[in-house]
Amino acid sequence: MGARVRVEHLTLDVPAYLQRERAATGWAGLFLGAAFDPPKRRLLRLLDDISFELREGDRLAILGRNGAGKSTLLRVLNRVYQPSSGSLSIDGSCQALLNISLGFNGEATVRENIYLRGIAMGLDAAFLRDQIPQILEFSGLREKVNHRLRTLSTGQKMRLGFAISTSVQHDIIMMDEWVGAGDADFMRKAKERMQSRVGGSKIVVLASHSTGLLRDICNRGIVIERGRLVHSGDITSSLKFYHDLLARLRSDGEASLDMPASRGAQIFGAVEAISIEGGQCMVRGWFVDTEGAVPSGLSLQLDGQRHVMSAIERVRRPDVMRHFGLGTDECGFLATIPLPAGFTTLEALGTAEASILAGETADYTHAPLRIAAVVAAQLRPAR
Amino acid sequence: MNEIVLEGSIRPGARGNGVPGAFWRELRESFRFPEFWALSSWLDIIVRARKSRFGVLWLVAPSVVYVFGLGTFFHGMLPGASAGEYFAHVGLGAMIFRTLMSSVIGSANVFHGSVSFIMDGHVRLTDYLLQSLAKSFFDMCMYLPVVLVTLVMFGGVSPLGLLWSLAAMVVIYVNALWISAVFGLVGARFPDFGQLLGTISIFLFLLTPIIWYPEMMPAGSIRAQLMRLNPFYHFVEIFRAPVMDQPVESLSIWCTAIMTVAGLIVATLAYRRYARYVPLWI
Repeated sequence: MGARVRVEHLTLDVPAYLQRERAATGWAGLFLGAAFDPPKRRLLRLLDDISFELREGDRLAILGRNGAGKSTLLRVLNRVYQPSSGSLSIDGSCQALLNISLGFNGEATVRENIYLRGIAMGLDAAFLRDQIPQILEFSGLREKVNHRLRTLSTGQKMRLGFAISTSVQHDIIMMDEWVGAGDADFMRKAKERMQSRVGGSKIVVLASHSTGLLRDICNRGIVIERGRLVHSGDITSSLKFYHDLLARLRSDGEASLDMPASRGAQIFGAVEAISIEGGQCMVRGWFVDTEGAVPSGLSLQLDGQRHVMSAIERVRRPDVMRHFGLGTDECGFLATIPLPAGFTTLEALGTAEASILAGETADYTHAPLRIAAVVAAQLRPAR
Repeated sequence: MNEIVLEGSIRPGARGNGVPGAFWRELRESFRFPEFWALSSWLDIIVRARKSRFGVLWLVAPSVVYVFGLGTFFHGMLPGASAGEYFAHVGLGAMIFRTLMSSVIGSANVFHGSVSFIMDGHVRLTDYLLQSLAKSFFDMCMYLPVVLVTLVMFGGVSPLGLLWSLAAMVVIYVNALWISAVFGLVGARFPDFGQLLGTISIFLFLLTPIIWYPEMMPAGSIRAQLMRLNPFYHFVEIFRAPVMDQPVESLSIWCTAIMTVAGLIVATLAYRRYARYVPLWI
């Protein structure tokens, strides 16, 4: 049986309870108002007439701003929320990795919780028994198996949830942001497992703000804005549409607070060439943020000290634009950074653990850019 | 590490499929796949015992306090009542009342308490109802030792009556099921409902003839009427009277029968109409 997801004219209305707007006459009025004002009921339309169909091999990216309805749509697909009208049919086993650290009993032991959660996921008890060593191994909680779950740290619980949720290969996998947090070692394992799970799934649905990630994994995309499906197509056209949408909203000056950018859109990019000319370091590469905008700040970090660029020149990079579906091709840069005394060779930079940081402005640089392999080889200290 | 897992290990029916709302179908599925609710209620129970040093002792303690503590105190106020009979009266009454009341109170919070599982996509809500009933059944079993002692003290147990009371127990559980279905939905919508039930339960306990005899109410008085309006009175009566070899009022039998049928219908309708909103409410 082939896996398939079919959504037709899906609409979701939910009752919302709003607190009455009240002109507080003083702190006493404010307190009393909070205590006694009954909330008002209003019907909100979270999803409006959404239709799409996924077949085997489809990897769907759900794009949209915060609050546009991405997570709500995932919950409907996971059958937590029932559509108010329209229809949804899913063929194939389905696992959602929406909130993987939930669904535990804090006072029961780790082993009991593995059973509890596994069974809630629809797994066989006998099958789970065989899986327990593997789950404990993966989450690194072998010596904790008879401890109460309450005594575990947040990170450990997260690891356990991840290990259980991903212990089985499902036909359809749904994710709200890429799962994975914790120490570097676990991140590596988690990444490997996720890639294998995503690779083994017939259908993947992923909601994320991370353009690079969506670009790597997905082949189709939909854009949701205020609960409506505003675009559907292949991943490149969807990313393009999404970035255009954000650019339009930015230029309209609409609710910049609502934009993820103001909460620190993630910047990513790469350093492709580095050289030293006359006491100055020349860096060439490209960068872009998850909203499709191009940042403008760059600095070089040496021994933990930041050295801000003195000049930056935009370079046209149509290849990067096409790859990420950006609205502009001016995402390449050639930056000049004055070097402190004593740094004359690339090896010296490498010894000082050089890294290139990008940011919205030159004064605020925080996101390390990936260093291309060629450059990394140049920077490697000679021994 | 990333071994391929057989597809057969996933049981599609085990977490509920189809649109929620079909009460009887979901109930049937819950009984066909009992692992989840059985395990989660069992974990809830043993965890309660594990938290404390005396463990199981605490689970039995309420029954001792209710029956022998309250019983001894109030027995002193009833001159002429035989001690054995009175304790059996209190024990049986308290057992049924606590069972029903704990499933009623528990049901108001049953969906709020399982929010993480529901949000994770385990949306067959009857599982959570059965989980709450299983817990209350266990609480009832904790009353059994004390009730057995009182029955031995009483001595006049009717064997045929015991069979009757077993049947009555089944009826009571069917009622507990619809009550928790309806109250669960109401409780999911109105979080205050649990508080309300908790407050009312004390009043109901005193209104139900558990620590007193129904005969003490003058027939035809307002208080006797009030007692007969209390559904718990009828549930307690149809269970307790046969065991103690007393006649059951035909009014009680009728009331129970009507409540069972009407309640199940209400539960079916309410479930069909409102079950799909539960994830939104909680």
